[in-house]
Amino acid sequence: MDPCIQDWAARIQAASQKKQALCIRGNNSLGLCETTPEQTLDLSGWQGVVEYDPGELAITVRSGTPWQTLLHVLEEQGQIPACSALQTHPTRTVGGMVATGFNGPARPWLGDVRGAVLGVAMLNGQGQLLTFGGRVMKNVAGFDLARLQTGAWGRFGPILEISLRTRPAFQHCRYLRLEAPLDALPTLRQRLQQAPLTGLAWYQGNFHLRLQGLPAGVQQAAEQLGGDEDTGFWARHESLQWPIYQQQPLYRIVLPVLDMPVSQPWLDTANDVLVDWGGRLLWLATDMPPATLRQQVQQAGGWMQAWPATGPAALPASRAAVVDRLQQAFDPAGVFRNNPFQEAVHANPTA
Amino acid sequence: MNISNEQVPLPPACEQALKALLGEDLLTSPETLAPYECDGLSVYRRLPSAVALPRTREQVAGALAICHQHGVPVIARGAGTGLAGGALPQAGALILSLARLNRILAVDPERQTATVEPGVRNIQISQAAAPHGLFYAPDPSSQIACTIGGNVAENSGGVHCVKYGLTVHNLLGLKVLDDQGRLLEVGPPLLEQPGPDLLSLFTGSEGLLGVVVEVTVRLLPRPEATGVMLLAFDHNEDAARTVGAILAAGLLPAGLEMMDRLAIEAAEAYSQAGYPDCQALLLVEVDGCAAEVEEQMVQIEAIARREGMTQLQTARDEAQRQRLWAGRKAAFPAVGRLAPDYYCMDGTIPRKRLPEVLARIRQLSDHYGLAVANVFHAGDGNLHPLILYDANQPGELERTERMGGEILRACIEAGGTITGEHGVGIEKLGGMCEQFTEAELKQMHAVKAALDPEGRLNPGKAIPSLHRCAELGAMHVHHGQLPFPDLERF
Repeated sequence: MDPCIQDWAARIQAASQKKQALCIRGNNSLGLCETTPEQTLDLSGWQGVVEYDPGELAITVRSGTPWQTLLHVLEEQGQIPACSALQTHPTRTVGGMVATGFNGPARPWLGDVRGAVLGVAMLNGQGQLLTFGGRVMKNVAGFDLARLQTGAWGRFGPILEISLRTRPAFQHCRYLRLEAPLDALPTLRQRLQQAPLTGLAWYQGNFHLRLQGLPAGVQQAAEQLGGDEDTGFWARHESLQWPIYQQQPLYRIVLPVLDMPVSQPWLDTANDVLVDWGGRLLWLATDMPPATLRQQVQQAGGWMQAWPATGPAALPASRAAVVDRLQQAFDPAGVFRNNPFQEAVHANPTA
Repeated sequence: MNISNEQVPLPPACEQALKALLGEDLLTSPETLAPYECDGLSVYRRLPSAVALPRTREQVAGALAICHQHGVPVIARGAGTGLAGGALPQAGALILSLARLNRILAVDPERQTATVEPGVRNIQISQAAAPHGLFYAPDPSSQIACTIGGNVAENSGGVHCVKYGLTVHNLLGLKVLDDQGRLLEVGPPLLEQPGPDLLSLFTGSEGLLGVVVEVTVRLLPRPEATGVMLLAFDHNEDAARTVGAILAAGLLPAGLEMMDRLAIEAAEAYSQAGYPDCQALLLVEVDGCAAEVEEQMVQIEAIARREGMTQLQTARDEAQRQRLWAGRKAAFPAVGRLAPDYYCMDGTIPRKRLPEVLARIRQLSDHYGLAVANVFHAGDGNLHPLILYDANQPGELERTERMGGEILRACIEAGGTITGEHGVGIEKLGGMCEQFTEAELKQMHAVKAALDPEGRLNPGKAIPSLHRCAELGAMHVHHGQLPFPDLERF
């Protein structure tokens, strides 16, 4: 057995017996694991590609591998992950990406992080090494405890290895900018139904479109749509570099779809807004009281989270109860219950 | 095999309460129960104790509450098309049929979603979405009959998974009743959910964790154009290599299917699709805008020629497409004419191991004296070997099952899985013991206990008891060949 895994397993077992908490730490890019070495399971050095055969459309990596490294490895073989992950920070690890489960700008077209997860190897709260899922695309043997780790923020234990679906990189790409008010979104979406789209955002009076696919399809769609060549928007958007991402307070809001015409007070009074996912995700900088905003978002059928995120978003009571029971099933002593780590709860890990 | 015509009644007080709730929609007489004695895996049969046919979500919740009160197990059932015995009755359990919860609640073209009850058939969703230029992507071969509730329970696939994914990739939200009939919303239906991915946990859980009463799926714009190509080869290996070469070239076909010689001959004799005389063929479906379809077909043809394709047929209009697909779609009944019975397997392997696993299947076929036709979803490495046998010959079914077990073992050894899309049910419990360690199975049981503390939801299916694995003597014997082989276990 790898000595690292042996060590982590032993430490988890000891923590479990003493009912102590541990903080799972990758590169700590979100700054949520400011703990002593004794309180920390440090996976940042646990890096590397375990298996990658491009023909299988799957890659297996250790969880501490930086997401950027994964992208480079795939790029060399003309592939990309079969999902769009939100690249909140350049040093984020693959494990962190999966554990937080935030999706990036191409989510509606490329798929979500959870959907790209094929399998994981992990340690549970008793320090047992477990493998769920696998490296093949179709696998319905047993409960899907691999994808369950997506968005779990490590509450069920540290992920050690992750197998992800990959897909061929797009052969061709065009970026277009169309100047128009946000109200034009439904009409534009209708026009784009058949277009090889991987991005549709609206920011500061312009729609930004990304077309990716085979050259013929992309060119045909670009000619039909018109507009200007759009340089620079998507690179800055993918890496959260626009001014709105630096504003505070900032909220990330997931919606069924933005209802039109746009007349919600929370949009009218916003300091800044960026609409993504073709109207299903909003970045909203606003001074509106968070409770009022949350209520209005819920009325619209969505959920929101203050940004940058410092932990999982609050769940409705019935789902929170289910997650608590699952936590018990993976981690009866509560070693990882408080991941991501918060000092207050750390003082009393069983609280 | 496991045939029992003896009816074990429900506890009288439970039956009485269910009768009061459901009236005529509770079946208890043997002649009305007979249709529910098996699912698509008809070699296993047992007469149910009773069948509930609720018409509303409230009735489902009521039935679950009554069963909770009386400690009666509940087996949810859709259309009964499952191929792994997941809906096999158990003595003393209630079969909870969801087939009458069959309303399409909403089709929302703006949000590109459909919200339906679990008894809606798969194909009805695409039919309801068609006026809006939309469709529901997962299309298991039983799509005219199977229900979306069953699809969720099994995480069903189909021929278009390579590009469009499985059921789990096309779900947005579920409403689930727990073992006591209490509602849990696994949603709302959005492109991202906060918290651990419960949607995936419930998808494919084979009715062990809850009863789905509402499903919201994602709809996609129907592609402007579709093209189908039939590529013929003189060697299985050439066909298998072409599959990898197409994907490696940056192309992502909507469907990528393979048939071997026995399957081709059977299909041709049955459907006269005009399939060529060859050892192996690939059916490749590409979609997108018209220009994209043409471009994909040009690129695929060049790749296939390089890899040794001997003949090519292409279809660009609906009639031609239907003809090329006819043979593949008729493959199972066509193979069914070659022998009185066939046993359909469902292993998945890494694509690169295809040639050696096919060779192993041929070896097993010779050893057991049972012919095998291979029809499979080559694009995602999902094999459906069909073992031909005659159940009336003493011992032949048992021999077939032994051979099937060896095929699944070969799939695990190749780094794959015992089931790609049909589920475990009762059929592959033995294989589960080989694929998972004791600690992994215990973790699954702990998850089951977390959501169904009394173990009353479809007990005995999908996750084998450790006792059973010990009896089989099959606990995780292929240790080093599992996924993540570099990690040792302890």
